[in-house]
Amino acid sequence: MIDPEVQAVDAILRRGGIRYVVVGGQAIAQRAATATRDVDVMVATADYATTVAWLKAESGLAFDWDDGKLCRFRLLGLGGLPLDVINPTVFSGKRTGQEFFDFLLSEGSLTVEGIPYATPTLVWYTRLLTKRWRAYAEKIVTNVIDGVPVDHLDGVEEIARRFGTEVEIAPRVAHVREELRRPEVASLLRRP
Amino acid sequence: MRMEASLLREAGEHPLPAEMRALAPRTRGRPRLEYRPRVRSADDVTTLRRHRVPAVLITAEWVSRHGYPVEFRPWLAVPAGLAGKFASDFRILPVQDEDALRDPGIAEMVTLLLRFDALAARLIAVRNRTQLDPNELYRRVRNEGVESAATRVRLQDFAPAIPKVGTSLSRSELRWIEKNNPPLAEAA
Repeated sequence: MIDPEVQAVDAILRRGGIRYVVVGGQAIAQRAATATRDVDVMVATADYATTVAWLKAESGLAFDWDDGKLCRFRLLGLGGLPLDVINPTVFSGKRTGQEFFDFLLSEGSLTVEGIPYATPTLVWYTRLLTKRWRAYAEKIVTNVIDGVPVDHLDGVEEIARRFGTEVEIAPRVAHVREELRRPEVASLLRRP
Repeated sequence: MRMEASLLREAGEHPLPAEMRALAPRTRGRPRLEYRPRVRSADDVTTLRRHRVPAVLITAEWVSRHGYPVEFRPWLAVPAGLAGKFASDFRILPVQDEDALRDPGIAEMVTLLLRFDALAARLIAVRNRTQLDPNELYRRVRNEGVESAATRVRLQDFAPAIPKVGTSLSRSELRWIEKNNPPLAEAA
């Protein structure tokens, strides 16, 4: 079943003919426990400015701020829940934002009931590449305890190699792996 | 050699309802039938507790109601020594500090949450601060041996005596987590 928040965002973006992929917590929610209700979507770099302009004109949304990489709106019908529109250049490393978005569409997402959601591998990669990566590492540990296969971390390293972000990603993945080796976490991972 | 614990019915005590008694695999030569409590619902956990079995079901509803809206499959927290003695589809959380399961309050729940979602533990502590007894939190964290998880989310803010083990998330990261995960009333 599609979450009402995602459904609302999908309706708006479809009206504008905007191609997007749900990333962040709502994408993880397809596989594991999550705490976030806000909706993060990634659009093609070339579509970023037009998407922001289109959404600013939407009556069901309130514009919050835009720094060219991320633009925040509030969903008025859903108590002001945040809708973040993300420019893929933030995560594309040594390649273009368009290349990252193409990769997201072709290899980093799955469509569920008509909605494209990023895979856990892709979400973990983007999360570990942000400045809040330590807090996100904590969430990744919780995801793994909750049943998301730890193998997705290998995929994160592969994406980093592909986009030339290994220098940032490698120590962060190592940090997550170390956290997963802590006895109290490891004991939960061994259980059915 | 390994230590093993069992649940035994005392003289005069009613047995668990028949539907909650799953026959354990029989060991060759073992003289008695051994049952494992079958736990399939919150009501089963209530029945267990009525029979003085210290078991607690940790649910997303409880955590959400106490200020951290979250979704997760429930955990059945039971004493570590009895962890293998239940037949249940719930995930089993083996707990060292059996006493924490007797009548769990905020300090106990925060400590249990540290085992599988340290950020949830932090937010529940922040949002239920007035009901959080620092001495009780200190005692539970020590008994459960989760000082490292407690340090990562700075539970020393609530119980300064908890020993610092390992590194902590920065205050700005914790503030950001709090801001991005408002309680249900605010989120709605």
